[in-house]
Amino acid sequence: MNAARALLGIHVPGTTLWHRLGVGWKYLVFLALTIPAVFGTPALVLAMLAVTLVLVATTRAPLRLAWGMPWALVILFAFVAGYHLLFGEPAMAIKVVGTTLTALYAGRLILITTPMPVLIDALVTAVRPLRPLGANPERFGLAVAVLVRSIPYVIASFGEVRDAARARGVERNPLASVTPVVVQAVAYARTTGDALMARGLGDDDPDEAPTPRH
Amino acid sequence: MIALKSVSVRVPVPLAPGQGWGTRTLLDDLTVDLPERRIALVGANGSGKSTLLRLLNGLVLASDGTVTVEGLDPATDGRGVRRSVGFVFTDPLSQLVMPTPIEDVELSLRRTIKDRSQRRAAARALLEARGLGHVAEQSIYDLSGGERQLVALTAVLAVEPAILVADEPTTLLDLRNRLGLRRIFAELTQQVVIATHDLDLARDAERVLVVDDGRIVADGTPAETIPHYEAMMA
Repeated sequence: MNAARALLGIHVPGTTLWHRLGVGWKYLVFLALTIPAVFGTPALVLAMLAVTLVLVATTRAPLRLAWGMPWALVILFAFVAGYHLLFGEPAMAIKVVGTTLTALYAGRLILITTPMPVLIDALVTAVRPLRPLGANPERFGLAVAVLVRSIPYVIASFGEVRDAARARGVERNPLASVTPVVVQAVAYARTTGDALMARGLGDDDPDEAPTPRH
Repeated sequence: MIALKSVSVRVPVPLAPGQGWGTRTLLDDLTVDLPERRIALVGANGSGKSTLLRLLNGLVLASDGTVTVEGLDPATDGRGVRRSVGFVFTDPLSQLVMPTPIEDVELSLRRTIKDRSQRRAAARALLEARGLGHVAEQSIYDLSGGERQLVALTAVLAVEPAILVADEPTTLLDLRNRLGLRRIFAELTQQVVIATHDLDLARDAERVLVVDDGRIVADGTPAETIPHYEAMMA
C-alpha cells in the first residue's frame, strides 16, 4: 500500500450509510469522535478510538485500507508512547497517541466515503459567506484538496530519502535525512503550483465563469 | 495562432560568493509565428525548449518582447490564455492533484459543469473514451506511467483547449505507451506544440524548431531540420 492511501485513505465507492450521508453530517461525526478524545480521560480516549475503528470498518472499505498505517507513522507513535512510558506517564502516552489516531481514523471515515470533489464543493459552500471579506472559496477548497494530497507525499519522501541515505551509508547523519526532504518538498510545491496554474485551477470561481469556450 | 516577437527571457542567477547576482539568458530575441497544427521543438537539455513552451501559457513571462496566443498576451490576460492552452508536463504526477483519475478529471470540469452528478458522469465518459474506465477510482499512485500520462492528458483535454502544449510527454513512457500517445496526438483536433527528445514524435509534426542556447537555429519540416539536429548532437 502506498503512503498516499495508507495515511488518510482514498475514496472507496460504496452504498453504505456513510457513503450516503451528507458531508456536513460527516464533519459533525468527526467532531463528535475527536472532541471527547481531546478533552477526555485516557479511558475515554481508548473508547473513542475503538468506536472510530469500528465505524471506519463499517464503510466496507478493505480493512487493510481502513485500518492500515504507514510504518513510519507506526514507528513514530511507538517512539512517542515509549518516551512517555519511560518517564512514567502512561496516561499521557495513551492520550497523545490515542487522540492522534482517533483524529486520523475519523478523518479516514470522511475521506474513504466522500469523493474529493464533493469535499471541495462542501468547503467552497462553507467558505462562500466569507466572500465579502475577500475570501476566495474556490481557492480555499483547492488548497485543502492539495494539502490532503501533499501530506502523504512528504511522508513518502522521508521513506525514499532514508533509503537513499542508507544506501550511501549516511543514515546516522540527520542533515542527510532531512535536507533532501525539505528540498523535495519545495520542488513539489513549485511543480504543484505550476500544474495548478497551467490548468487554470483557482484562477476563477465556477459561479462566475461557467461557460465552456468550445 | 501563436506569435512571439523579439522575445527574451532572462533569470537572475547568483554569482560567485560575495559578488551578488547576475543574469542568465534562457531565450534570446526570438521572433516566430506558429500557425501550423503540429509543431515540435527539439534541442539539448537546457537549450530553452521548456522555457519557450512555458511562455505559451504564462508559466514564464517574457523579460522583453511580446507573446500572443489566440490574440491574447499571457502577461496581461493569463486567465484567458490558460483557458485556451492546455499544458501536459513530463511527469504526470506533478500535474495530477487529486487522489484518483475520476476526481482529477472532475476537477478540470468544475469550471464548465456545475452539477456534481453531471460532472462525474462526464468525467467517467471521458476516461472511458480513453480506455481508462477500469482505473477511474484507483489511486493515481497505483497506475502505470502510461496510464498516468493518459489521465493527465484526459484531464487537460476535458476543458477542450484550443491549443495543447506538451513538455517531453513521452520521456517517462515505454515504447507501447509512446506509440499510443503519438496516435492520440495525431488524432487531436487542437493545435499541438510539443517539446521532445523523441525524434519519432518530432517527425509526426508539420514543422520542427531546433532550439539551441536560447535561439532557434533551424526551422522547417522534419526532413529539413532533424538531420541538422542530429548533426549538432553528434
